[in-house]
Amino acid sequence: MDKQNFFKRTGALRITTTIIIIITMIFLEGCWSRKEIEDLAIVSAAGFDKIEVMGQEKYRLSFLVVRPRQLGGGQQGGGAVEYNPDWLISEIGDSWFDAGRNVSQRSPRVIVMYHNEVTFIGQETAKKGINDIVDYMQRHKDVRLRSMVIVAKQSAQSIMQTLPEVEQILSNEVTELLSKGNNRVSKSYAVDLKEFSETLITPGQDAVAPAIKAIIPVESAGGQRGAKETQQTVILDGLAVFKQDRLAGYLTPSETKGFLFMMGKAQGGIVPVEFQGPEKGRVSLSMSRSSSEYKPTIRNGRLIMEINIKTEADVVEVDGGVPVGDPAVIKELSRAYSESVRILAQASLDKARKELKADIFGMGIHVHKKYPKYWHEIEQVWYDIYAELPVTIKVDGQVRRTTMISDPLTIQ
Amino acid sequence: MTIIVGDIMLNQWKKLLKKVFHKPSNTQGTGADRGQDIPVSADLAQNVACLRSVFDRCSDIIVREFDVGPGISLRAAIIYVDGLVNKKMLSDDLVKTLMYEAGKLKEKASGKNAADFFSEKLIAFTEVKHQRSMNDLVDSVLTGETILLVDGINSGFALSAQDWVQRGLQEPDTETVVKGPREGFNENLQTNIMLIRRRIKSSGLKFETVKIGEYTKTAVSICYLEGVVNPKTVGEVKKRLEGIKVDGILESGYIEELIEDAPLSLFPTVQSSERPDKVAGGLLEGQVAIMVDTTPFMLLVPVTFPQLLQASEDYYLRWPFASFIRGIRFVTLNIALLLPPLYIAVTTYHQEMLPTPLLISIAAAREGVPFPAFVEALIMETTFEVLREAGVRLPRNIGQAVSIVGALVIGQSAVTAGLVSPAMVIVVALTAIASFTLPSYSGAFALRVLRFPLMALAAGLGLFGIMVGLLAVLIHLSSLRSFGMSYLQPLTPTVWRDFKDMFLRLPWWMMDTRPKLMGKMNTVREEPGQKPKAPKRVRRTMK
Amino acid sequence: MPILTVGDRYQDVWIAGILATLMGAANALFLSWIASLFDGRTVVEFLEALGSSLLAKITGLIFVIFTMHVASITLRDFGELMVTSFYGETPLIVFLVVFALLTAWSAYAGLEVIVRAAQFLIPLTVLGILISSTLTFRVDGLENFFPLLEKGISPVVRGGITQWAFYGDVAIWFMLLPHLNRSVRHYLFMPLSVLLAGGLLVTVLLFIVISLGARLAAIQTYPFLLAVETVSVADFIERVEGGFLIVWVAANFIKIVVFFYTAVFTMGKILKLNDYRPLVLPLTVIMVSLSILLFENYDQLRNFFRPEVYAAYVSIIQVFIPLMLIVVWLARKKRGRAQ
Repeated sequence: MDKQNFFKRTGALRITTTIIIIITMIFLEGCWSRKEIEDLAIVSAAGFDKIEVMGQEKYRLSFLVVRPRQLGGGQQGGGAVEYNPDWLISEIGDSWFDAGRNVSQRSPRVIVMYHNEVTFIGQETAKKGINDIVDYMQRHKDVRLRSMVIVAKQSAQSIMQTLPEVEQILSNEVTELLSKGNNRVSKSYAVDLKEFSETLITPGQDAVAPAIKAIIPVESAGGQRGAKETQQTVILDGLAVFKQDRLAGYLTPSETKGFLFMMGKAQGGIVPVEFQGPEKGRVSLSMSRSSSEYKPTIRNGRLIMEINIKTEADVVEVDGGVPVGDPAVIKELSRAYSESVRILAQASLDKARKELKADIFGMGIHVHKKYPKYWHEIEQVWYDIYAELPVTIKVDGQVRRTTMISDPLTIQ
Repeated sequence: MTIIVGDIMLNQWKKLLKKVFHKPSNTQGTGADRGQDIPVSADLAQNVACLRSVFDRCSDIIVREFDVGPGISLRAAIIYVDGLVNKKMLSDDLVKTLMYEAGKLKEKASGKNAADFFSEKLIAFTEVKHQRSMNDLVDSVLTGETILLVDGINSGFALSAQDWVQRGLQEPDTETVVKGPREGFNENLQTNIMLIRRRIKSSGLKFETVKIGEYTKTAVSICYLEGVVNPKTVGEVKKRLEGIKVDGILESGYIEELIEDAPLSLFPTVQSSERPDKVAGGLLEGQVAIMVDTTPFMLLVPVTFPQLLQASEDYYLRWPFASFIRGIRFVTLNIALLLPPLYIAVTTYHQEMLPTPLLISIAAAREGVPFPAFVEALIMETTFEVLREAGVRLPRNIGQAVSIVGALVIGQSAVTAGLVSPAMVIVVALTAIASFTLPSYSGAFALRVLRFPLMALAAGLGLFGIMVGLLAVLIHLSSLRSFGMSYLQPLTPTVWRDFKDMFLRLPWWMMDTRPKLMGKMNTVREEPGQKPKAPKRVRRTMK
Repeated sequence: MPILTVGDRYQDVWIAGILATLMGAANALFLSWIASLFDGRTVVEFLEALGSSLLAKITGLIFVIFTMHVASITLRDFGELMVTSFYGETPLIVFLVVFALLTAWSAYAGLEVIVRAAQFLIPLTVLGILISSTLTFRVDGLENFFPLLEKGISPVVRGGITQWAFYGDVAIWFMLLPHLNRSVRHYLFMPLSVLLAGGLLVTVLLFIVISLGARLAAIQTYPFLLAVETVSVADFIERVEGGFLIVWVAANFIKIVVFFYTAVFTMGKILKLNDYRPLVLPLTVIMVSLSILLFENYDQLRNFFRPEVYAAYVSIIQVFIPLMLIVVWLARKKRGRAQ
C-alpha cells in the first residue's frame, strides 16, 4: 500500500473540511467583537461619585455620550428634535464596573470608553480614596492612559450637567481649557491618567489633579446677553492635592502657580511686581519659561533640601512710569521678580507641608535617587521628615525683554 | 482564504484532477489537412488537382494556370490566398515575366536543373523556397506565400509576396506614457519583430520561430539577447512551448496560461506588454520575450513581483521624478489592496484607533445607513467593478454616459438617499483611482480580486484578519517562482544591488549592473564612473 | 517577550537584558561550537552516526516536545493578548485555530518559503518596534532609570537568567542545520542572532522604562502596548496600537512557524519519513489543543516564565543536551582511538 499517498489524500480532505468549517465559522458567527460604528455610544467624559442610597454606599457612574448626528456630520438630521451634542447618562451600581454596565439599561448603544478624554472625580468620593477608580480605569481595556483626571469641587455629575460655552461638547471645552488655556496662565495643571497613576504608586511623591467647579457666569447672571436662563458653566480652580490616594485639600490658583514654579513646569502667566525704586509702580511680568533643580544633601547626618528655580520673564505692562528701558532698573526688576517667585513658591510649599501634609513636589523621589540607602531607612517616616525638612529656595529670575516699547509713555 | 484553499487544492488534488481529466495523448494528427505526406510530382496537372482537392470549397484560395512563354509551351500555375498577397506584384513581376519574357532567354532550361534555372533566372523575388512536399506547399499557401508550380519540375516555389491589411503603429491603450516612444505593437509578427530589431541592432538578438496550434498554426517567436540571457531560461521557455498541444492560439493569453509557473495563483508569473520599448528593455535585462502573431501583446519571462510595478516611463523621466513616482506607486499599491479592508476593520473593530473627531464624523455619516460596513463596502466595490466592466465593454461614446450615470447616480444619489455613507464613497473612489496607477494590468487585477477576501477577513476578524490574510499572501508569494526566479526577488532572497531599481529608480550612471539571475551571463550594464560633470571652466590665457 | 520580562519590579531591567544577551551569546557560541561537530547533519542524524540510535530517538523526542511546547505557549500567549486588549468578546479558540492553520500551511510550504517570508517580515518587525519605541520617548522619562542598581546586583542577575532562557531558542538550529547555506556554516550566526535579538529586547525595555516607569510597567499585563498607547507626537501621531498589533502578529507568526516547523521536521526524522508533510495536520491539532490545555488561566502562563521554572526548563535543551552530546562524542572518540 502506498502509505504516503494515503496520508496525503486524507490530509487534503481534512484540510479542506477544516478550512470550510473555519470559513463558515467566521462568516456565520464572526461578529463576536464586531461593533458597527453607529451602534456605539462614544463616551467623551466620565464622572465618578460615591453616594448614599438608603444608608448604603453606592457607586454612581456618569457618562457624557456624544451624539454624532448633532455634531455636524450627518446632513439628513433635518426635522428631528435638536438635542444637546452630548448626552448625560448616569446609573448606580455596587461597583464602578457594575454601574458602568447598568448604564446599558438605558443606553440603546454600546458604551465604549476609548475616546473618554476627561475623567471627573467627585470631591466627596476623592476624600474617601480613589484607588478603586484608578484600578477600574487601568484594568478597563478601553480607557486610555492619556485621558485627563480632574477633581470636581462638587459632585462629578454636577460638573457634567454644565454646558460648554464655546466648544460643542463639554469634554472638548475642558481639555482645551487645560491644555491650551492653561499654558498662558499657569494656574492649573493638566494631569493624565498615566501621570496620575505614576505619582500614586511612586513612593516619595503624592498626586495632584486639576480642580474644577461649576459657576453661574456673572456676565449672564443678571439676564444680560439674552441668556434664556442662568446656565452653569465650568471654571478651573487650582489643584486638588492627594495624600496617598485620598484628597487632602486644594491649592488655590496662586499657590498652584507657586507649585508649578517649584516643579519647573510654569510656562506662562503673569507675575505682578511692586517696583520699589525711585519711581514706584507696578510692573507686570509675563513669565516665559522656568526650570527647577532639587539638591538634597546630608549634612551632619541631617537632610537638607536646596531648590534652585530658574525662570525668565518679559515686561508686558508698566503702571506708574517705571523706566524699564534702563538696564539698572531691569536688574532691579529681575531681583524683585525672583523675590516674588520665591514667595509664591514658598507659599505653596508651606501649604503643602503644613496644611495638606503631602509631598506633591516629589522631594522623596529626589532623596531616593540621590541617597537610595538612606531613603530605605527613612521611607516609613518620610512624611515626618518632610514636614520638618529645612528647605532653601533660591530663585534666579531674569527679565529678558521689554517687548514692543522700552520706556513707558511719558504723559505731558 | 481562497488562496489557501486554492494552493492546497493545487498540491493535493493535482493527481486527482489528472486522473479525471486525463485523456490519451492523440492530439497529433487530428488536423484535417494533415493527411499522408506526398511529394510534389513532376506532373503539374496532378499537383494542381491534388491542391484543388485539399482546398476544396475554400473560395479564398486562388489557383491560376497559365502558359510560360512566349514560344515555349510550358504550363505553370500559381496558388495563393486572396487578400494575403500583393496582387500587383504577382502579376507584374511573376506572371508577366513568365508569360512574356521567359521564352526570350537564350539558354533553355533542361530537365535536371530546371528548378534552379527558374529560381535563378526567372523569378524576380527576394525570397524563394523550394518545397518538395505537398504538405509544405499547403502550409506555405496558408501562411500567405504564393506557390509557383511549373510543369516538369518536381518541386514548388514558395514566393514571399505577402501583403495584407494591418493596423498602423498606434500608441498602446494599456500602457500610455507622457514621455517616451508612442508606437506600440500591432497584430503582425513581422512588424513587431522589426520594432524590436530597430531598437536592438545586435546579432546577439535572436528570434526563434515555432508554429503552435493545430489549426491556427500561429507563429510564435522566442526572442532573446544572446550573451545576456540565461540560456537555462531560454531552454525552459522552449521546453514549455514545445509542450503546448492545442487546436489554436488566438492571443498570447493562451500561451501565458499554458506555460505559467503557478496556474492557480492570482498573481501573474508572466509579464505582458504591448510596448516595444518595454520589451526591448526587458531583453536588455535578460528577459525572454515570447512574441505571438496576431496579437499586440508580447510576453516577457521571467518576471518578479517588483517588476510589475515598473513602468517604462520610469526610465525616461529624470531619476528624482521617476523615484518619486515609484514611491507613489508603492503607496497606491497599498491603498488599492488595503484601504477598504482597513476601513472595515477600523470602523467595526478598532474604533479606538481613530482620532476622536474622525470617529465622530464617520459615526455621524453612518447614522441611518441600513447596512453594516462590510456589506456597504461590498456593495460599493461590486458596483464599481460593474461600472468599470461596463465602461470597457461599451462603445467609447456610451462609456462616457455610463461613467456619468455611475458617478451621479451611484455616488451622489446613494449618499443623499442614505444608502451608503459619504466616507465609504470616498474610500471606494480612492481605491479605484489608486488601482489605476499600477502599470501592470494583470498585477492590478490580482490586487482587485484579493481585496474581496481581505475585506471578508477584515469583517470577520478585524486587523488580525487582515494581517492573517496578508501573511497568507506573503507565504504564497514567497513560494512562487517564475521560470526559476523567486517571485519576490530582490526583496527576498535579498539582492542589495538590485535595490537600485526597486523602491527608487537610481540615475542611469549608477545602474551599472543587470538584475542578478536574470542577466546572469553578462552582469555589467555600463562602464562605471559615467556620472556627468560640468566641464571645468577654462580660464582664457592671453597669448 | 517584553510582555513577560518587565514583571520584575525594578528599573534596572535593561541591565538584566544586557546581561542576559551576553550570557545568551556566550551560550550560543557554545552551542554553535557543538553544532559545528555535526558536519551539516541534524542532531538526530549525528547521534545515529555515533551509533546510539536510542539516544538519537530520545533527543529528537525532547526536541519535538520542547518545540511543540514553546510553539503552543507562544500561540496561547498571542491569543491571550488578542482577547485581552483588542477583541474582548471573541473566543480565544478563534485566534488559536486561525493562526494555527496559517502556521500549518506555512510549514506545509516548507522551510524555504518560511525563511523567505521571515526575511521579508523581520525587517518590518524590527523597524516597527524601533519606530514605536522611539515614539514613546520623553525627556523626563530618563529619570526613571535612577537610582541605578538600587537593590544590588542579585535581582538583576535573577532577571538576567529569566531573559537568558529565551535565547535558548537558538538550540533549535540543531535540527535545522542541513538547510543552512554552506557559506554561513561557520556558525557565528547563532551568537550574532542572539545579540541582535537582545539588542532589540534591550531597546524595548529601555523605552518601556522611559515611557511608563518601572513601577507602572510592573503592574501592566502588556507594558509595551501601554507604552505605545501613550504615544502622542504633536497631537497628530496618536492611537498607533494598530501598528503594534500588526508587528505583534508578524513577530509571533515567525516564532510559532519556526518552532512548529522544527517540531514537525524532527518528528519526521525520528519516524524516518521521507516527507514530513503528513505530520503537519496532526501536530497542528496537538498544538492548538496543547495551547488550550496547558494553562487554566493567564496567571499560570505568567508564572511559567518565572526564572525558577522557565530557566530550569530551558536548560534541558540549552545545557543538558549539549553536554550530553559532548560526552557521547568524547566517549565515541576515545573508543575510536582505542580500537
